[in-house]
Amino acid sequence: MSRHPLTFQVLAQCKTTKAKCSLMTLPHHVVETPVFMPVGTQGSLKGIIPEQLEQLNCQIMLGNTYHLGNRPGPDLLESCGGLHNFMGWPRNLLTDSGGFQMVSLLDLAEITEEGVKFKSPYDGSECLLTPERSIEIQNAIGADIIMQLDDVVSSTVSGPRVEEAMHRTTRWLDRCLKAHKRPESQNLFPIVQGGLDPKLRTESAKQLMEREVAGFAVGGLSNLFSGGEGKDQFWRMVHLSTDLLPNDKPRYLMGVGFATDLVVCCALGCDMFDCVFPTRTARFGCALVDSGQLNLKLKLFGQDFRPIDEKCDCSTCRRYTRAYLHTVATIETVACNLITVHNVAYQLRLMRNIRESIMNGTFVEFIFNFMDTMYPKKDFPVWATDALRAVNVDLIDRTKEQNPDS
Amino acid sequence: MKFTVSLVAKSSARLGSLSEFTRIPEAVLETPLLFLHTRGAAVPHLSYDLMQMVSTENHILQMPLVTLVDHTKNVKAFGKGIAEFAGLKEYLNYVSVQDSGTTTPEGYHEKNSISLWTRGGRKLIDPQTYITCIEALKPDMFQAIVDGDTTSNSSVKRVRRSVDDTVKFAGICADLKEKSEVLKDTPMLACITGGYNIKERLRCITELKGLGVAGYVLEGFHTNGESATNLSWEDLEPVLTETLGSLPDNLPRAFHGPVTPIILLKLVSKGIDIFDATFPWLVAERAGALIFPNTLPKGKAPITETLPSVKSPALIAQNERDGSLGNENNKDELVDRVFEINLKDKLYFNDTRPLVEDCSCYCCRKYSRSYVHHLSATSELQGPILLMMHNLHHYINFFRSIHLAIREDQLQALHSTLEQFVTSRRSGKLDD
Repeated sequence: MSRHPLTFQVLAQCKTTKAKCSLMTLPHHVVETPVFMPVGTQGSLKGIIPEQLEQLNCQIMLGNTYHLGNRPGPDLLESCGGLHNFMGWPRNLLTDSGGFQMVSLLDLAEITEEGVKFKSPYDGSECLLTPERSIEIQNAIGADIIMQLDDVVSSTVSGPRVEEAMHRTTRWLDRCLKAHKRPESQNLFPIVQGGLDPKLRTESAKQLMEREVAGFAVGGLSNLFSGGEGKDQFWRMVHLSTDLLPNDKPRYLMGVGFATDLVVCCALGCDMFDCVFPTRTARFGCALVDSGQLNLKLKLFGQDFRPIDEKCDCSTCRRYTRAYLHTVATIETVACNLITVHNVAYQLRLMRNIRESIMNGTFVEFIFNFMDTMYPKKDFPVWATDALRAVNVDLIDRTKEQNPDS
Repeated sequence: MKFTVSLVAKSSARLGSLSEFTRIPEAVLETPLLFLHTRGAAVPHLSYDLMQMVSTENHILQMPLVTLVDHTKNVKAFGKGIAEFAGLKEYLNYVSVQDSGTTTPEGYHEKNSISLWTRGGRKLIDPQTYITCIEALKPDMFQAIVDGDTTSNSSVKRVRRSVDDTVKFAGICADLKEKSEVLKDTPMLACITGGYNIKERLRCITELKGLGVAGYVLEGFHTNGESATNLSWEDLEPVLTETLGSLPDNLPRAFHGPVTPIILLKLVSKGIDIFDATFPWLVAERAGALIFPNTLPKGKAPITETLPSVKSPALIAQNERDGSLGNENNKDELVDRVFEINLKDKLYFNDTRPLVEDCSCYCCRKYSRSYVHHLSATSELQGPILLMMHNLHHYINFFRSIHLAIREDQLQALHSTLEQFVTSRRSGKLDD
C-alpha cells in the first residue's frame, strides 16, 4: 500500500534500452508513462480550452508557481478550492517550485541558506522565497505533484558553488517535506542536482533517495539544449541519474521537450517530461511534424492544400489546410488555437507511439524509424548516437545485434 | 436566395427568413438576422470547434474583403471558394467590402476605386478587380463595392460624390456579375449611400432602380468601428424613415456595424432585417462581458445585482474638458460600457459568480468572474476566447428575443427593459 497519493506500476520493460512503459495513478486521473506534460503557465494552456486538452487525452499538465503565486495568488486559489477548480481542469496538475523562474526571470535574485531573495517585479520590494513559502503556495494551488524548492545552479557554473547547491538542495528538501501540509493529496518530488559532476550527481541522488518520496526529478540540465558540447554532457548526466534512481518510482526530467530529446531520454529511462516548446512555437506559427517543424508563415505554404500532417487525426488536421493556416498564422488568434491543438496532439501521439512500441517489444525499431524520418540525410546528432549507444542501440551499424550483452 | 416576410409589426419591424441558398438549400435563417462577423475568414478567437460550442444552428458568416484581399490569389488556386478554404463550409457566407468592426480611415476615396486598408497597407480596388476577388472567393452572397466614406459631418459635395460613385460601381458590378459564370446566380446586395442627406439618399435609390439586386445595405452613416457605436438616433431617424420608405418591402435591408443594442432595437423597429456581430466582438476585445437584459421581462427583475455605475461617454468627455476629473481616464474610457462589465476591473478579483447569472453559455456554466478576471489581467489568450463565446451566445439569444417580441407585439417592452437598464446604470456618484 503506497504511503503517497501515487501508485506506479511498470507494465513493460524494454529489453535493450532502459525504457519502460508504466501506469501512474494520481488523485485526479491515471497517467500513462512515458508522458509529456504541456505547460499552462498562468492557469491556462495559451489559447486552448481544457475540453480540447481532454479530447487529446492529455492526462497531466503543468502550472508555474512563480506566476500563479503572484497572480491570482495563493489566497484566492485556496478560497476557490485550488487551481483545478479555478481553471476547470479535471485531470492532473504538476507545479514547479517557482525557484527556476525566479532565477531566470529576475535580475537580482540572490540565493542564501534561507531562500531565494529577489525584488518584486511589481513594486520593487524585497521578497524572499523560502522552501516553506514555496510549499505553502503549492499547497494552495493543489497540484497532484509538487516540486521541492531546489538551489538551482546553471550548468555552465563549475566549482564549489555546484557542491554547495547540491547539499543545500537536500537540506531544502527536508524543509519542504516538513512544511508540506497536504501529503495525502499532493506528492512532493525532490530534484537531483550536482551540475555536470558525476560524483556530485551520485551523492545528490543518494541523499534524496534516503527520504521517503513518491518519485524523483532530474534538474539543472535544461539549459544545455542549445546543441553541441552541451548536449553531450547533458545525456551523460541523465544516463547516470536514471542508473541511480529506483526503477519503481517515476523519474521526471525537467524542461525536456524536443521530439528527438524525448525519444532518446525515454531510452535512457525517464518517465516524465515537460517543455514550453510545442506550445510556444505554435504561437509563432510553427507546426510540429515528424521531420521537424513547418513554419506556416512561409509563402511556400500559400497554396499547399494539405493538412499539417496527413496522418494526424487532430481536429485541426481534419479540417484545416496549411494554406489557410498560412493566411492566419500570427495574425488571427484562432491560428494559435489551431496550431497549439496540433502541436500538443503531435507530442502526445509521439509519446503514445513510444509507449506502444515498448509494450510490443519494438521500441528499438521505433527509434530507427523515428531517427530516419527526422534525419533523412542520416546526419544524426552525435550526442543522440552516443546516448543511444550507451543503452545498446547503434544507429549507424544496425546489423549489430541489439543486445545488452553484446 | 429567397427573402420572405412573414409578419410586419405595428412599427415597421418585420419577421422574415432567408432561404433557398444554392450551396446549402436546406438552410432557413430567420430575420432580423445576426451575421457572424469574421476576420481572415474566422470568427475572432473561435475555431470551428469552439463555434460549435456556442451554437449548432445555421449561421451566415460576414467576411470583409479587406481581411481577405491579400490572399485571394491562394483562394483562387484552391478553387472551391473561401468557405471551404477556411474550413467552414458548413456555414453560409457573405463577402462585404470593409470590416464594419474596424474604423475605416476617412478621406481616401478615389475617382474610380476605393481604398482597402490591409496589413500590408492601402490597396486600391476598382470594381473590375473587386469582382475578380469575389469570383475567387465564391461566396453565397456578396455586397456591391461602395463608397461609404461619409459621416454626419460630411460636406454636401462629398455626399453627392459618394452617391455618384456608389451608383456607378453598382452598375459595373451588376454587369460583370451577369457575365460571370461563377457569380451570375449569386445574390448581390446593392448599397444605398447619401450620408445624412435625404435628397441624396433618395437620388441613390432612384438611380439604382432596375438593377437586379437581392437586397440593400444602408451604408454611409458611419465609417465603421467605434464610429458606429456613437450614432445619434436623432440624426439617423429622419433619414432612415425616408430611405426605408422608398425601398421595396420585399427585399432585405442590412445595416452593418457595431451599433449598440438600443440602436439595434430601434433599427429593427424601422424595418432593418440584417445586422452583424461586431458589437459583441468589440466588447470582448476590451475584456467586456455583455450583461444587458436580452430577454423579455418575465415578471421579476432580470438583473438582481447592483452593477457598477457607468457614466455616459459624453459626460466623461465633458468632465475632462472642464477638468473636474483626474487624469486616470484615458481615451479608452470614452467608450460606453453600459451594456457590459469590465473583467479587467479589480472588483472581480474574487467574484465567484458566473459572468451572467442563469446564462447557459460554456463560460458561465464553467467559470467564475474571478477566473475570467485573472485571464484578462494576465493577458492570457483564453480570456478573449471565453468572452467572445459568452458575448456571441448573449447576442444570439438577444436576437431570439427580438423574434419572439415581434411575433407577440412586445418589441416596445423589450426596448423599455433595455432603456430602464441603461438608466439604472447611469445613476451613481461621479467619483465612484
